[in-house]
Amino acid sequence: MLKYILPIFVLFLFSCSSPVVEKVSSPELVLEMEGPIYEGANTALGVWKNPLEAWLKSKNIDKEKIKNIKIISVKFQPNSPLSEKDLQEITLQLTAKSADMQKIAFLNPYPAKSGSADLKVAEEQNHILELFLSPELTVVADVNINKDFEENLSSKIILEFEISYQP
Amino acid sequence: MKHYFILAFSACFFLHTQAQDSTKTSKEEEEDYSQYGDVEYVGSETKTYANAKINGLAPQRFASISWDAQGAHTLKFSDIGSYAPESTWTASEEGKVNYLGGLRLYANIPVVSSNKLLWQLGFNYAASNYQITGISPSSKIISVLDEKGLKTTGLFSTLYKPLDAKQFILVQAQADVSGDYSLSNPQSLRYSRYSAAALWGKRPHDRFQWGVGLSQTYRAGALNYIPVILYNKTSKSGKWGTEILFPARAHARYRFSTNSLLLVGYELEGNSYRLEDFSNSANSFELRRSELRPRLEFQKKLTGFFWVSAQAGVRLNYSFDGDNLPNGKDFFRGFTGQQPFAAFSSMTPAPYLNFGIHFVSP
Amino acid sequence: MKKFFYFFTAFCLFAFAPQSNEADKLIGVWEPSHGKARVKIDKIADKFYGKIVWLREPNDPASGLPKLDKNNPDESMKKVPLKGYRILKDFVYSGNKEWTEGTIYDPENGSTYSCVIKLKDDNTLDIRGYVGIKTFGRTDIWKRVQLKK
Repeated sequence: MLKYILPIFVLFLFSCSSPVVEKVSSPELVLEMEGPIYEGANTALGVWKNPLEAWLKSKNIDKEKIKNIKIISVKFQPNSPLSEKDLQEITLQLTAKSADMQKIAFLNPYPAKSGSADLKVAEEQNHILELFLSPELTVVADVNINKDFEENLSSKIILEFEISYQP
Repeated sequence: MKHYFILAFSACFFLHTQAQDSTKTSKEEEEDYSQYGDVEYVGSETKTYANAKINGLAPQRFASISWDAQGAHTLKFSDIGSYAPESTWTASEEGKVNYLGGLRLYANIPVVSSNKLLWQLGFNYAASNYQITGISPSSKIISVLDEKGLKTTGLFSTLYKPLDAKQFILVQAQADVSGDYSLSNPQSLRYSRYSAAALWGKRPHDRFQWGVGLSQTYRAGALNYIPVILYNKTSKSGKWGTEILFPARAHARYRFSTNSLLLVGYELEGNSYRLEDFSNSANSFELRRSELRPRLEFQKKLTGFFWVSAQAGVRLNYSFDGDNLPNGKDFFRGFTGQQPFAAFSSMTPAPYLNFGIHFVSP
Repeated sequence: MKKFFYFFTAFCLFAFAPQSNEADKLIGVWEPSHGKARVKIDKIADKFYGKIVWLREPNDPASGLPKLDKNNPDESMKKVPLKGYRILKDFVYSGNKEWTEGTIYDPENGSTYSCVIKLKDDNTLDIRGYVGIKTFGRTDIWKRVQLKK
């Protein structure tokens, strides 16, 4: 009898085990703006293809095992010739073809003395998992710039997020 | 020739993929958006009309369900048909109302809703169920109230027409059937009572609108014609404001946040209720009910577009006297008319509560 | 054979081009009927988004500082500036000059409404924000603007 009960018990325990939470960082994502760029509201875009593919492979698990994703930090770094002095503020959103746009972080005002900056992350986060499971995640940075540029501009961001999954 | 096909197909495919390239923000970088204060219209110009709402107002209710309850109070009536002078009437029936309240339903559906015109159709229902003890043996009206209670069911329509960016006209018409009827024994529509109001107003800016007009109303119990004043204003900070449609209601508003607010003020509620037992085909006996309700009202977002409200206040009686209406036809007494009442009443004040859940547009 | 070549080319152009061109008619800068803001609609990841590019009153009358999204229900997002704010989100072209599945945000009360956009003519939009079903909504008319030439 025990030989039947024990596996069922183990299976039960396994199914009831609480999800594991792991901190993960994105690679450096490049956001680009095509010049000429004028003072005022502008948009920089970047694409992250298959955001979770490598992580899922490394864990050898299916995407269905992921319960939730929460963004915990966003680091923004303008590349020359764009500098922190040219940035008034920044709002960062994520979107994908199959998921709605979500605002995830902002910084207002952008600090004039630091090149890179940690953005303020939204407390209420919805549908982030849906976005990360999309084959192409688009990062949309709406920035207010205080001068004109003739050339293309680029910036880098790194997203740090928590993945909650069933091992 | 084969090469032409390949070339043509490639060209078309290239055009197609260019059009589908969606990671670009469509050449936005070529325009200077800081200059968008200085623009021209590509087609016809924008026409601005005065919006029906102002910033900061309590959410507009599309549908509501609420429960209203009054605390204990004493109710007295003179004999029906005594026509005694108001100064000398004596009570011939009396009872202690332990509970008075019931369900209230409300719906206000936009039929046309654009920046040029707002037309809404609405429905309202309110039940007043009585639990009365100590009813004096000779009681007629009080016994009927205890047994049947009162109900009012109405349809209304509101039309808001902005004339330009600042001026507007607001017209509302309402038909109510009020009495001691029930679903199994409904009251004839012949005894419907009609209210209407028409206002002309101005909306100087996004935080202020005012208007003046005239109304035919039963809020004071009997048919009356009174001027109305609309005065809605919100402070620059958005925290404070007024919501006034005098004399029907007037409130001061304080916003704790976008999701909660407090109103302090009053509402005047009233209608003319036909009592079947004391009426016949040649006569309609109607209680001219009017209540002044000073109150506090707290409103809070529950979830999404659902809000809850809680009211607490005092119900002060303005009128509950009875009129005999020959052939059910109403007459105008106003504030100075000399037509005698068929029955006088008195009612002590009572505390009241109202809880509701509402489907709103914030 | 030449005729067939022309026909083939015309077919390819017809088959590939129009749907996208129709959808992209939404792209541009638009002015709501209240005239207090101008909204730039662009296309990202095959969906349409609109952000505020100009405000008649850029500063808050109470503080005198640039307007912020002070009514946002998320406490942590109340300092996001309104200039550059994406108030129209996630619109998909559904044919018949209509864009659906999107939302419109009202910064005056921090509410996000379901929304459909209809192109009445090339320079006029009917924008209907609603709650739940389209009946519980309001239609506003937006006009296309461009920089003065």
